[in-house]
Amino acid sequence: MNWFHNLSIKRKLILIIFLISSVVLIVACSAFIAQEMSTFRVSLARDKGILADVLAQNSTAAMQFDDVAAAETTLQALRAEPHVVAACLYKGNKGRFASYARENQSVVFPEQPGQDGFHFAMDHLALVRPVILNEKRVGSIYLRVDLEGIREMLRLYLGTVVIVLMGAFVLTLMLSAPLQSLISKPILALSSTAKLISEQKDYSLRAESAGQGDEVGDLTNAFNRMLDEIQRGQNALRKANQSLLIQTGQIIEGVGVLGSSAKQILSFSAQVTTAATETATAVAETTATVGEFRQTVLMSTQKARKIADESMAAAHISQQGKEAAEKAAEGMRHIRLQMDSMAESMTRLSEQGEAIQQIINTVEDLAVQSNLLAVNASIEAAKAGEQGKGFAVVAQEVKNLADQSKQATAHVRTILKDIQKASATAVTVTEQGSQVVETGVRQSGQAGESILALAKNVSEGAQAVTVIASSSQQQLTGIDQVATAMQSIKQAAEQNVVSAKELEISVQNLNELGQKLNELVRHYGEAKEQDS
Amino acid sequence: MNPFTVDRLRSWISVLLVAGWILGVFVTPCKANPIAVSEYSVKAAFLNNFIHFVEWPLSAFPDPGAALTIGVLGDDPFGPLLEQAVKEEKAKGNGVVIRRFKSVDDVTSCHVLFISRSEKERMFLILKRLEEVPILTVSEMEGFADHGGIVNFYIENNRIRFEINKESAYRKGLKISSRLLCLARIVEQKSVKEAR
Repeated sequence: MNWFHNLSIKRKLILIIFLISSVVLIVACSAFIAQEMSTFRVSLARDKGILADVLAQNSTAAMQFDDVAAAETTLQALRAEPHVVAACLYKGNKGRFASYARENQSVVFPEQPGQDGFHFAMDHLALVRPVILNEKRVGSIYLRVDLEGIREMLRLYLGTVVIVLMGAFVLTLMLSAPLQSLISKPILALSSTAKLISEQKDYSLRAESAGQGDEVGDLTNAFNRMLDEIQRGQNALRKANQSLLIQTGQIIEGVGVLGSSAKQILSFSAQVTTAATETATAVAETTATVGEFRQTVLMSTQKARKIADESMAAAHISQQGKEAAEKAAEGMRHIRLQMDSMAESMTRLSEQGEAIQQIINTVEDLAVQSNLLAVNASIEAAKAGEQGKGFAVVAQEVKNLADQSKQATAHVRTILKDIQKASATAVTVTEQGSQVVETGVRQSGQAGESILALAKNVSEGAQAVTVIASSSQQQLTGIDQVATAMQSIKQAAEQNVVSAKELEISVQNLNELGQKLNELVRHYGEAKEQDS
Repeated sequence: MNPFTVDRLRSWISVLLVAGWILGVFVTPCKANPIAVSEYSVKAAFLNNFIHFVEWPLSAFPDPGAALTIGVLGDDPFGPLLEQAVKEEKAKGNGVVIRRFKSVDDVTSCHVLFISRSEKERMFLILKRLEEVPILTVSEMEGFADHGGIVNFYIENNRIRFEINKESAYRKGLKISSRLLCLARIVEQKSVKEAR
């Protein structure tokens, strides 16, 4: 059956139609022929039975009167029946009475007629009928009929069947050619479209629908719908791919921008940290200044109070205050002088430090030279042999000494560096102190002037002093508020520094992230290029 | 084998014995003729057979239950042979009766009448008497059928044959089967006066 599977649908359909029609025709014809043959045999047996009966009837008289010639004459009538081969009359049980055989036929007749009835042999029908006269059996008639009639009919039928089959074959071919195309044509069209699509990979092609409502029409529609889906999916994929490419480019760009921004932010945040630190320091300084200023104000307030309380004695006290102010100014100046001398001694310390440096250098040189000397001496001692042994010990000691002095100079150098550092700090502090002193001098000067002005105006406006005292009190409160605010600012500045450091760390992380991202995107881009 | 055929065989044996006795006692010149032995047995059988091929008018059977009668007029040449021949016929229907007549005047209610050679002298008289009576007249005398008799036996090629006068039968109202006529030699009626 393999060859059948490989046949085209068209040939299969034609073959199936032809097979079915042939089988139906052959079965129908066979059944018809079998029926006809059976009917023919029955009718043959009946017809020849009737013939035998007629002959028997006509032979009764001849048989009764023993007239063989007459009986044979009667039997001669069978000449008209070409299929009757032989006939024989038997009288009672006395054997053959009269017989007939067709020309050119030698027939062996049975001695006894045998049982009534008929039976079909291979090539003939044998028939035995009774000869009856007045309801009494007087003998038997035997008839032998050839089956040429049946054979002739069979030949005729077979010929007809062959002709009908050939006609049906031609008609089937003629009819099946256009009929099979009803089924095979749309399937073939679908198959060729599918082949074309798979060869060209062109999913915009469509199978032609013949507008059929059967399964093939459904198949074609489903096939086209499937192609629609494939095409749509392909387009979407292409678009997504393109937008992905664009997005990837944008991401790479963005990551680059991010990296540079992160670097900028990093440097900026470092600056911020520095600035915050600086601000914190400045704020601390300002706070201290405010504290000092407050102290001054407090004092002035107390003084103003004292002035207010002792308004009457203010003149004296103002005089004393003037003196005190002058003394203060003088003290200030004295402090300034002391500061200056301190600065000078600092400078000197610094200069001495340099001198010590030079001394250390010298000592170092000495140490190096003594070391060299010690080495030479030890070589010489070695040359001197046993006598130089004691000298070698001395040389070794000298070398040790040189090493120790070298170590000591290094130690001194370190100490000196510490001293220089400390003196530098002291200088700075001293400068600041001198500034404060400057401010103190200025304030004491102003105070002195104020005291003088007050002393002049004490008698004129004690009330003004009271106002001054209260306003001074208010000023104190304000300074307190300023001090509190400064404290807050200081805390904020410190927090600022902490935050700036945290920011720096965060930015550092951000920068690392940006680099990682950049690397990642570069890998992705490379992968993408390899793909396409 | 049915009992009738056994009986028939026995009758044939007895006929042969009788024939042998006759041959032995009377040395006859027709010794070579085998027919002579069984001539009357055949004729007896023929007489019996005729009744199957002849139809009588209803007037011949005034009584529906009456038996068919075969009569022998004059000297009886059959002996017991006729009785033996009709033995089987007796068994069915109304049966067959054998009657023997001395004179034609005695002949009443008879259907088949065999006229013996002994009545040769009175043949015309008898035929005249029975002219209108529905009786199948049978004889073995030359000219019998020609002169108004219906069936007449004769010998041809050592075979017993018979001739039939259709016209005479028709006149008497008897219908003879064509099958019987086929076997017979048909003869024409000759004028009775001419024969005289």
